[in-house]
Amino acid sequence: MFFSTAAARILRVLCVATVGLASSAVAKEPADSVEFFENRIRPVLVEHCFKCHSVDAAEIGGSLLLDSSDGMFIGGDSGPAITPGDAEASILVSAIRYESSEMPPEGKLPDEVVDDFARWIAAGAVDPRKSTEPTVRGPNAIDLDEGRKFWAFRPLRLSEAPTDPLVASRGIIDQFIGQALVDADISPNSQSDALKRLRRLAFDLTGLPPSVELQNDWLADPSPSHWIQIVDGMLASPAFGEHWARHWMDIARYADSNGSDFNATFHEAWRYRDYLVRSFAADRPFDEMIRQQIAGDLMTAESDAERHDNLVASTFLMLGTKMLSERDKPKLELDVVDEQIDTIGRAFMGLTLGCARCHDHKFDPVPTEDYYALAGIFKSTVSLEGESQEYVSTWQGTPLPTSNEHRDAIAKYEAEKESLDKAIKSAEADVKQASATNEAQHRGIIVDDSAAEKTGVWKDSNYIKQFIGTGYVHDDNSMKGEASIRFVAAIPDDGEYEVRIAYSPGASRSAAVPITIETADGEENVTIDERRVSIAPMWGSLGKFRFMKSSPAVVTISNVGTTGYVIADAVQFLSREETNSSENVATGDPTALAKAKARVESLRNDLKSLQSSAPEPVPVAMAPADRPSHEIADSVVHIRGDIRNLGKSVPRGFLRVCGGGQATIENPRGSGRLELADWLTDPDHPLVARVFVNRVWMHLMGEGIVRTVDNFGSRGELPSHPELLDALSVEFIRSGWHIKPLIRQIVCSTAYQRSSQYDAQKIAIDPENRLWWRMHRRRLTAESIRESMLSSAGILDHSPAFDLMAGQKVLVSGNDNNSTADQIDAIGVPRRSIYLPLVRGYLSPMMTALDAADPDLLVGHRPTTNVPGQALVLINSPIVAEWARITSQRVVTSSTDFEDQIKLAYQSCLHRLPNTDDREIADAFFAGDRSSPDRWHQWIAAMFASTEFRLLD
Amino acid sequence: MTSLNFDGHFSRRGFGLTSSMTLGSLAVSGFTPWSTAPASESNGSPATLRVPPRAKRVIFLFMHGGPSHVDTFDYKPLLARDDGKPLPFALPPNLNASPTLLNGPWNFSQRGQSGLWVSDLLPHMAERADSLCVIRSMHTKGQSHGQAVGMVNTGSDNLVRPSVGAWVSYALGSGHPDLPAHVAIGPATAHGGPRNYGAAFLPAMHQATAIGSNGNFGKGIIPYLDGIGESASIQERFDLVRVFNERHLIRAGLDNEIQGAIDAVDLASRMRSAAPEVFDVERETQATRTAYGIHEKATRSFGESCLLARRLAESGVRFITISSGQVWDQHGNLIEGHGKNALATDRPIAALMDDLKQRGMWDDTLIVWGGEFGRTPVVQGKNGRDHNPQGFTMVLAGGAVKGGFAYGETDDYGYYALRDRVHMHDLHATMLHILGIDHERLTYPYAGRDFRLTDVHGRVVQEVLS
Repeated sequence: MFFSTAAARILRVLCVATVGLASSAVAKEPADSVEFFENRIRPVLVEHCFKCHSVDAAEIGGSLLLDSSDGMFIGGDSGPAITPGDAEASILVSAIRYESSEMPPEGKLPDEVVDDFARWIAAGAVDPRKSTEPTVRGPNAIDLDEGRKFWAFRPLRLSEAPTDPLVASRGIIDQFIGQALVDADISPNSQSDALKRLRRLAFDLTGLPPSVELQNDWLADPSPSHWIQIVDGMLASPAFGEHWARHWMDIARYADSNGSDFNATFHEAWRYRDYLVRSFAADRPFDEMIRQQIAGDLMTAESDAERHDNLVASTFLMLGTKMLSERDKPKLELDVVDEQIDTIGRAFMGLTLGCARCHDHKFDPVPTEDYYALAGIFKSTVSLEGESQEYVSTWQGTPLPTSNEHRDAIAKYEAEKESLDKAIKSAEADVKQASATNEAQHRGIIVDDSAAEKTGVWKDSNYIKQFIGTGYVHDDNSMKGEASIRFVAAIPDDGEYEVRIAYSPGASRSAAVPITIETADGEENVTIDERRVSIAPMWGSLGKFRFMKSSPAVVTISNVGTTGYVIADAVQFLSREETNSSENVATGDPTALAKAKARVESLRNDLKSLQSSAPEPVPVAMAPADRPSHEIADSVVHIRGDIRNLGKSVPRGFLRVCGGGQATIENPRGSGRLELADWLTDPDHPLVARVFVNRVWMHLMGEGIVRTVDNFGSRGELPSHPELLDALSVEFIRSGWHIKPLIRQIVCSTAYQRSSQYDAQKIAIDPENRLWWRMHRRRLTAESIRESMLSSAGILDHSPAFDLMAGQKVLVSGNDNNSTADQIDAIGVPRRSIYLPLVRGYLSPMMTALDAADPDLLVGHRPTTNVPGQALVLINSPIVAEWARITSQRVVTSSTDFEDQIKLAYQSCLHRLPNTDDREIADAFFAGDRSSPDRWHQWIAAMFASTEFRLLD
Repeated sequence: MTSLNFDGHFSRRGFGLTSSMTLGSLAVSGFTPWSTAPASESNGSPATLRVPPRAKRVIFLFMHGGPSHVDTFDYKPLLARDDGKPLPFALPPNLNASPTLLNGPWNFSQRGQSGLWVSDLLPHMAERADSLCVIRSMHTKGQSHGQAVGMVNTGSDNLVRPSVGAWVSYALGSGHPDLPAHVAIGPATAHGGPRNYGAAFLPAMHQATAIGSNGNFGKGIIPYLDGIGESASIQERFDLVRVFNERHLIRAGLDNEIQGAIDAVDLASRMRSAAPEVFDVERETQATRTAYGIHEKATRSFGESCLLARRLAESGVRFITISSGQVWDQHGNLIEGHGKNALATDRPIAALMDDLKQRGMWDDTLIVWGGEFGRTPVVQGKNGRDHNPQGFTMVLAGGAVKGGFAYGETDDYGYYALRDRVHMHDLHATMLHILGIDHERLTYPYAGRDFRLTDVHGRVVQEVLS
């Protein structure tokens, strides 16, 4: 909708002018006659409406048929098209008036035609067409019972695992996978070699390469028990928390700024990132993480630490990119709600709920009502609150708990600040009082330059701040003899007046400005030296003269014969009494004023020093909140997703297809997010555990058991091993939603440790490796590739970084052409990538080229691209070249023996030992020049850009 | 098995690979990063060339900020007559402008054989009025820049969607084996930044290769095309990478990913040879450079951008956006601001038109000129205009569209598009149509459904086609 109703009405008037009269203005037939319908209604319907609203239409618009009387009564998505007898209540009328919608879309019908329709409906909508003419098709109702039969909506089932299908079967993973391989008659690859397995494990669990020491330890004892020991060590390492937090950040569309139209800084997003790192490191149960992320701000907490994590976790809901400058705020609100529902749907349930905003989901059993049952929950939640500038929304923040000492320090600081503020205020009042001298100086009759008659050229200025009115004029020190300015005043009483002129004094001014005063005693001529003033701050007295009421007092300042600038600001006439009082002020108060000013100055300094030692402000979480209870409400259906096209109200609730139980929240505690969190984490929810277990599986095994990890709906793929997915999910729920045991189980399986070797015969049977007869060859994440280089160079700083965006203003990049946000690129800072700022719109070109997740989207499975840009950034970017140089130095200085150097190069870059082939290449490459730093630099740089470096075999 | 032969450099092939083991024999199903073949039925895009193409490429001259249509192409005599009077109908909501009409200082006159009205603000484009197809009834979504910029570049005012150029790249591939299909020259960092030339959920290769930023031509080169150090040394590094990768492939057996990476390194290497020549606007004659205004400060950056666009177009690039930078947003200082922007862009654009004609490229190039919206006919502040998505002008040019032709009308003052309204979705549908793409059939599956550039909208504006 582009037009307000008022604007649309105006347009209607304009339309008449352009469209002209389409039918004669006067109707001869009565409006309740069949003739009226036949002559005035039916032709219009046929010509303008049937293209989209008849059974012959290619696609029926809004499910509305207008080719039968029933069709009109029953209506479409927006309800009945007409209400016989009530034209104003009929959607058809408001649509052709271009009010509720704009029909027909090609152009508005002439007003006469619109009026005909209104009159026809008002008269009862006589319609001779047989009501049974065409079969009326209502909107297709979704059959939820039928929908529940789809595998993903069925309850989790525990099937008996096949026993010992293969020799190496140990545990349910190998039992299920083994059985499928036996069924397909494929014998799986054997175990991968030891160092490949170790490399795989290290990157999968920590995102970092195995150290040379670990490689050597492992080679000395590549036993299963040592494997488990290494696994447990890695699971317990801080690096594990960082690496797995990053996986979830892809889902959470994590970024440190808003991007989009107003790239506002997310000053507090890092707290959420660190919550994830802590949670994964501590193996926080995932159901708890879900509850915290959906409704943490509403949860009760037993400690400050818990309250802190609860609040920070709910930042999850806030991280989406938003069109903050959208001026239609109700639309923006619905867009935000939509983004939240879509994210929750895909993140936790693998369902694409966004589709149901405008119509029943076309592929999955999600009716529009279910979408708006969820929308009611999020419309009752505040995500955006207030504006950072006109029309630009900003988000809600909630103070975080802090220590008593901190609170006391803040209280003390604020008390001191308040008392200083008060003192400053009172001192400023003193200054004002003292400055009342100025007021006093403004007594008498004042004529400003703006009211004076000017001859010649006078330039406006307000450069020197002390002046009367809005500024003063000067002669620009030119056209001498041609400029004059005449001040005229009416004198209230006959008598003697002191005449002063105001000007800003200065060295460039004329020393003798000629002035003529027309007095009761005739013309008087004086000159004044404008280089200085006789009465501070800006007055020069011309003397005392007699004036009469009967004739105006005139003062003319001229630039005849002057050298230097002539300034004219105002002329003042002071009676005897006024002269006395103002002189008192002028002589008496400068000291008082100076004193008062000095006091203000000193107090302000005190304030400055207080502020410089201020305690940190109370930390704030970028957290949502429930609306006040009177604003919490169910949502109506927005027909076709249109913010102003309203349908019926839907009680807040969940997706009915997930389980047969109650999907409506009976008595919501607030917005309903707590209930939503409970519903999602219910052990009988068919999707949530499956979706999450599948994600973990994908990160370790290369593909999900359901390959479309974000889509478990009918447009997604079916699970390759449904029993295994269910068995792992059931175990996951039973053991308390802990992630580490699940990971441990997977990486200790035989399937995980298989070689990724190509095999023509097996490929012929299972080309996509859906049965996991081998390990998938996988791309390292952009983060791991970068950190692997930093590790090779020996410069990776493992310490975490916190408040990355602290120095940033409200907008991380302005909406002009002079943005400096690209300078935030911290790619060269040798910390783990998770601790680098992620500014939307300014992602590091290197990370983007290596397929880092785009924070504008929820990314369950990162794409792996092979584009030239990737090769260019790896081979030619200065930072990669620099890391390669440092690595090569490290290798060269490690030993004087070429063999040892080559060995170290392979162990620190590719995490394996060089083979004969590698040695031959090296021998040839370094022929005769084994100590050249340039050769070594070249060698390492090529290793960094090689496929082996960035792939997990 | 190895017989090594390095004469200081690696020879690119034959190294370590016996004749029975050449890569040719290992080659897996072809994966060319910038396919020159159009998207086919099999990869989710039900063939696109269902309509006969009328052009091979688009050059989009994006006047970011929103130039005023009532001061350029949409002549309104009543606006001149009623200057200073109140607007006789209601303003749209959420607007700051006061409803007082403001007539701009630029005179309109009828130009060329066609008599098309163009103002004096753009004298060079005006001279070529007979080659312009002016759509005066544009309307779009978004009262603020962010939304409207999203609309013109991606067809969405609020959601993250592929850019028009990405769709074209996806549909048609590149016309050059070693160059990208989609290039953005001087793209703004504001209002969505890379999103406006991004691929969103389309494969990453369809994102534009960005040259310069914020209306600045910069060095006019592809990032990281040249490394530090000698060219010979960089080539040697490319060759060594290739050796490593081929070894890896041999050890792994067949592997699409490794093969794809090998191809990508190859292509990058070829780009290093091909691109510098194409990107080098210095190679043009002095006369050409002068025509584009490269010798003058005011026109240099946009002139270089237009000249590069022509060279890219000539080489087979499909979609080139030249951004003016976010400069046309004259809420105040209309005369000065629009004057400056017109000065910077008008002459280079005219030179581009002439150049395309001279080189026989006019008929198969579609030029699109315009902003994310127009500006209000009513005044904001003393001498500015606010945003106007309700009605504005975009200009098409090239063999596929009628020259010296105006389509559609706004109201008497140029506020609302009234007659023959063309929505931004319609313009996109028309652009695709001209390239031979059915906008309803060019789809990509994502998040459970098929997406289109035009969502569920879009009408091909047949009336403007020649």
